[in-house]
Amino acid sequence: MSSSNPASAEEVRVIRHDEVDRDSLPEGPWDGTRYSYIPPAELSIDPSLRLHAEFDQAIDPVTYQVLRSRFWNMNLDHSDTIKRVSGSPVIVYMEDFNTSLLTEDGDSVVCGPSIQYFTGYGDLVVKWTLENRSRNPGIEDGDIFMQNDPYVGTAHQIDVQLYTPVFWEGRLFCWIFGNCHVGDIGGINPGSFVPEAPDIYYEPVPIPPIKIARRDQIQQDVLQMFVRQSRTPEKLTLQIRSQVAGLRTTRARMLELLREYGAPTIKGAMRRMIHDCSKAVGERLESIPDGTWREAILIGSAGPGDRRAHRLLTTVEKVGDSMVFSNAGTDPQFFAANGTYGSWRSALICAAGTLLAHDQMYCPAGVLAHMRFQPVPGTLNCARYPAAVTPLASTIVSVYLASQVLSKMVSAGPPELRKRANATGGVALPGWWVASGIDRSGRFVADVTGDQVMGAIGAFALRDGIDTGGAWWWPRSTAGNVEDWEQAVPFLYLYRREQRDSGGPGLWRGGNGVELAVTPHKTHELTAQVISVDPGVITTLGLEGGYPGHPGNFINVPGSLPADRRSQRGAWPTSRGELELAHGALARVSPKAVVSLKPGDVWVVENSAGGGVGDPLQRDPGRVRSDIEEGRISAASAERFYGVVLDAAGNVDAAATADCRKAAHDERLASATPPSRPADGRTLRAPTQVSTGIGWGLLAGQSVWACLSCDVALGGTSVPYKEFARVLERNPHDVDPVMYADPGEYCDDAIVLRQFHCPACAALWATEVCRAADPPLDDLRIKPGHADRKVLAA
Amino acid sequence: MSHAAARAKDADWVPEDGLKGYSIGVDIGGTFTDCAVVSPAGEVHTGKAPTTPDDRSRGFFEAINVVADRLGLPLRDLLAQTERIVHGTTTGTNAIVARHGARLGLITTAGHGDVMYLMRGSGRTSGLPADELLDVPSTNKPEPLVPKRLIIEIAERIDVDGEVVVDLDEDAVRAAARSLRDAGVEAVCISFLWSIKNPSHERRAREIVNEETPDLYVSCASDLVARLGEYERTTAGLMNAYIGPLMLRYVSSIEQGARERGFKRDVLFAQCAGGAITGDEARAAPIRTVQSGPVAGIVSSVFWAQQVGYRNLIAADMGGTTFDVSVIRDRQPLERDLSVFQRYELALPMLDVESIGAGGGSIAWIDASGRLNVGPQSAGADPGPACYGRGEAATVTDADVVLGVLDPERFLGGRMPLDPERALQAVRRIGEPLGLDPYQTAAGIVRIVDSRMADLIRRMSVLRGFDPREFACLAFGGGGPVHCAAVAREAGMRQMIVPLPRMAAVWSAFGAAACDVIHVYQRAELIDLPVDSERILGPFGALESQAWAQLAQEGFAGDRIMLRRTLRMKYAMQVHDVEVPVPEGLHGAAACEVLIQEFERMYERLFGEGSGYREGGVQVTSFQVRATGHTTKPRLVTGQETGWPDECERLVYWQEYGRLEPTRVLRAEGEVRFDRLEGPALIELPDTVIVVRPGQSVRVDDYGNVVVDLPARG
Repeated sequence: MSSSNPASAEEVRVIRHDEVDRDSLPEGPWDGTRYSYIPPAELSIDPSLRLHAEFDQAIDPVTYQVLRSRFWNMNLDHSDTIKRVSGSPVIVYMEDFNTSLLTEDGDSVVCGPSIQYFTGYGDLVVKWTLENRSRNPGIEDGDIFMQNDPYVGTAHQIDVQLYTPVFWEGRLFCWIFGNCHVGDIGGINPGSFVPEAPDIYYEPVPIPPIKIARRDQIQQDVLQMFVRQSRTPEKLTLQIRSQVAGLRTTRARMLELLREYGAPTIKGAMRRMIHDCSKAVGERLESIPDGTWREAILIGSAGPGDRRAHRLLTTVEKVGDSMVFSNAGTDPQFFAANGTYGSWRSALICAAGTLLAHDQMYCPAGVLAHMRFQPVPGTLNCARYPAAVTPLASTIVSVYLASQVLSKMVSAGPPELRKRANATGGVALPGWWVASGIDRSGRFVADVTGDQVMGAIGAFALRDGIDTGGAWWWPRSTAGNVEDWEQAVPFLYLYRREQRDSGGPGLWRGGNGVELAVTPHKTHELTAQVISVDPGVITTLGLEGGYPGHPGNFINVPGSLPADRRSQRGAWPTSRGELELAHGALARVSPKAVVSLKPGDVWVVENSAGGGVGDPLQRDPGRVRSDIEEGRISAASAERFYGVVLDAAGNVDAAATADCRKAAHDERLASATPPSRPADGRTLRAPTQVSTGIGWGLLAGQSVWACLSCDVALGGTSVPYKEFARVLERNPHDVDPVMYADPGEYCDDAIVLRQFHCPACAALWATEVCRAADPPLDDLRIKPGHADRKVLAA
Repeated sequence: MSHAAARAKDADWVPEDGLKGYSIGVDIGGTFTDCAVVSPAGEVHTGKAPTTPDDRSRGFFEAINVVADRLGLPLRDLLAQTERIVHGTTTGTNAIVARHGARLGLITTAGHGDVMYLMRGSGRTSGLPADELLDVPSTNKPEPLVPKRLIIEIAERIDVDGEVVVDLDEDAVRAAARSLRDAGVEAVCISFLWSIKNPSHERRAREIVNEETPDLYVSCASDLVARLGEYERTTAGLMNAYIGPLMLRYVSSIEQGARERGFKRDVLFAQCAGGAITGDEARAAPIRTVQSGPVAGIVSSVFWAQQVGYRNLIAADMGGTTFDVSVIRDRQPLERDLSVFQRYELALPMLDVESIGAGGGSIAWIDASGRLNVGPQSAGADPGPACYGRGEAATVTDADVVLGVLDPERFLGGRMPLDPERALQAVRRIGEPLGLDPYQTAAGIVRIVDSRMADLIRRMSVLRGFDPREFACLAFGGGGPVHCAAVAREAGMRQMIVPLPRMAAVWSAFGAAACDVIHVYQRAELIDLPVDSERILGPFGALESQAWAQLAQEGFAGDRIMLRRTLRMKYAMQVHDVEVPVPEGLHGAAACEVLIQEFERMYERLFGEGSGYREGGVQVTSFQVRATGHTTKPRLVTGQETGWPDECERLVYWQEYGRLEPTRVLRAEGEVRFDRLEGPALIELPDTVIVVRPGQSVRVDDYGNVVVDLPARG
């Protein structure tokens, strides 16, 4: 081995910080029984379990890189082994799983590129296991643990985790961890999603960490106890076996590595990875002004017969290189629409990792080192046992909530960070549907179709979103071909296309989502069961003035196809437009509908699209023109949202566009309510940008907000900038009746799209989807202290 | 002779008789056009000429001419005595990569015009390295192959069983053809849903387009691919149309050139499924020539393995920008139906090659956290590594120069002297912030790139179910022999072989000269088992008649035709399908059971014991006949007389020692012979250097292959 030069290497220390302030933590104990588990900084581990903790401080830089690549690839091998043995479409195509490698004391060193909101569970589960299993029954070489308790740390019981300790020289050296969606594990509904569950006792049994293998032998009694509850026990057995195979492959690889490099070197590389990641995240955080950012997302139809809108809220306060998160303001837990502390935390780790550590090989511990949490229990995103959690409503909404609030934060940073700010994307709400029926060979089939994972990427702070670009937190999923699904389910697709006008309008346009229609084919009946929260209560938020994306829709058009279609040209609708032409306006079904489809009926599914960023009236008209040319938006939408008019030749009509935009500005000013505080009105030269439309600066020694469109100083940063805004508030359905369904159909709370405009130039700074009674969300505050420092430095 | 008798031939069949005439392989690469000529006696002669990008056919014949000169024959005489010319071309590949193909139109099923935009939900990330996926704002779908306004949806519909649900709107097809022509389109792809089950609409649409616009190049997706999945199939159809007009001209110019120079037969073209196709097929299905260069290299390796007696090989080709790996198991190359090409998923039967961005030009760089990385960005040929004298970036080649592994005076046989001082400066710049001296830095760059390549080999083994320790590493390309002893050592392999050094530089051309004519016929059909044997064996009849007719038309006598039947089978509730060979003479009531057992055996071998889910049932997904027209092969000769190489010594930095060490250097001009010697040592050949690391030993076998033996690990 070449000698190294340790003098140049920084000292690597084990990062030990308490992720909560124990003294102010409400209720408890937070041990994974009634309240979710929150690991302490110093774990309480039985002394009989000896840890292999020492590591090489001064690992040479080349060996470090070789090992980093080995860890990464070893973890991918773990994923590949699971895919290979499982053979399940959910695992192989959709990649609904993740794998990771953790230190002896449960710090996550590297995760896989599969589903990202799993990346904050491994450490919780391993730390819980160290604290609760090291004494009895003990943690030994050759053990494999299994667990699916959401209150210890998993999204829902269907995501089953298997993990194994790796021992070296008789001491626990590291952990290998896998987390897979395994399919049916019991509970009152096939597939184990129970949206109607009033509590967890209706759902599959949560099992806290249990040994499924001892001394490398599978414990048949434990395995049988588990698979006995499933409707498809052989398939579940195979899933478990695939995870066992993955753990064994990876453990063998790790032992080879230990023999080759020795334990201190390998642990040194692990600790340095966490150190490097933490350092990168810390430096990035330092480059953002201190402040507080907030986001709220509503969900409707959260339980059977529910007609209320429920709010999830997350606040981040950033000081220096640390972030403190709170869910205060979130509504109480409700039916099965909940997530646990672990899910809220994991969503935040996943979003922070993507926004602040994209180049650190998915190293959650380095991100977590800068995060602290202030959970309020008994809420939708921090539920108290025995709240039910299987439908994942709050879990997935929490991912977008995390991304929104942290996007607002990085948007206040330098361009390299700001460009990562990303509005909500597709696969945004749990808007799935299950098709079931008897196929042409007489077999019963029930499948969640994959179309939903076509997704859409929301707009970024400096570029457009990506049409049907999947989900940022689920990078390697695949939706499948029309032919794949027509082979699996007795239906025919009439169309499947990118939905024009579905992306949220903005300075930067959100990605369009997918729309499709199917009709039962060669079957007597097809049942469509909707597993959704209400799309009328929009979850696909825009960012910094961008409009929300289309939130999705399920529509039934009964008897719309003639019995003999072969000879009737044109009787085969191939777009929503053609359906509407034949049948008038289409009405959506209830978000909890179970619809029986007969031959000739048409079932229309529109999946959610991406939110926009910034004021659409400021979008470059040339971009609007090319969007029209490429069929991404309609001319009507161009005029309505973007104020862009094309001439007969398809070129931008500059004069008409200027008129149209002026009229739109006038209309904003005329119909919006006046601000609660008058604007300062002076001009602020070269304000510092903190969001797409808002900046700040010093005016006569006072820190003030300014509109970035007209440089008008608004007033002191000690109050929210929104207090200086003219506010326009409308039912979103009135803004665009096709894109936004009428929330009043399934929700009794008045839902509004609230817009905040500059009182001087009418620029759109921010949009909210909220209950009319909610006060404006105080979503952006800068700490003037930090501001002064920056100005002086400049 | 009956079809069955033709199939009765042994899979490892190699003809004993010699060639009746010369066999010529020509492979056109980015810089050089390589030629290998096999004489009737089985001797191989090689030559090279510069590639002529403006008109590649000039370089083509010039390369043959170089060999003709060496043989002392006028080109015309050589061609007159030549039995076969097989050409591996990158013309199509280059057109797709550089995006200078035809202006395309797409005609597809109404309601499904967005198939190439949806990319079945994986377009944004497909083909990107997994560690780059979190950089979300830098991700995008690839540039569309065809703009939306040139996609025309036609009312028609066929269902999963191949039944017509909506008749083809012929008037609309007619109008579409005209409007595409008026829009300046040069080539059209027709791709309808379920055309694999019933191609009648696609074929009728093609007739109409041909009638309306006879000058447009037309390809039907179902003619190219019989695989389920409209996205991957339409990719094949579109890419085929994209290079169609270009390849039409190119193939004809080669054929005409050959005729004018006295060649009496048909020129054949190397194809991605590992054999050759005729000029007619290359015109109709030019997409099959894509990737044919690397694939011809694999064909060469398979042929070599059969002759020399190796069963399991990992062929590793390290060039300037990529490291390509393919697996040969039981002397058969692995095949695949689906690959990612230029970030599009493409359904096309081809030999399985995996690549990462690791080559001589891979750039060393320091990331935001101060870590040393190598690749995947490459300095390419221009500006190239710092030592080429134009760029500043430190690359793997620069590191090899600094270490003393590459002699700057003798790079590419001395044709391209390198600037060692620039290499040293570039490497020094990278190492300074890390506190490493230039030797440590260079050794570090090499270790990092070697370990990335070893990672790829390990990763390939997991998904494909083999153990690299049971394989020998076959090293090619300018960088393979330099790096593979370390790569193979790290992947736990026991041997690294540089086959026939005199041919290393023309390995793909040699593969072309030695390849068979291969056609793959497929039919997709989902059948739940068990069924009676006629249902499962019947569909092969039609495929085999097709194969037989085509090969007969191409001039193969019955005893030269081999047909291999395979089924793709899967567990109904699982997604991996496995290619199951249908045993010779299988018939009768037990046929289905035999196949299920064979499937389960293969499934477990690939995916592990107990990995099948029998309770969900077993299905057939497609039928395939791989038809081979056997060509006569050269024979490798043992014990050729060669001279002993020159020997000298120079200082080389070995990371194993952490210092410079006087090292033996053997210099040979091609053929090489020496007694076994212990590493460290370098064997310099005209186009590469074989690096034998400390603790390893090297020898030359009877055929002239250089074999490096690697000690078992710890």
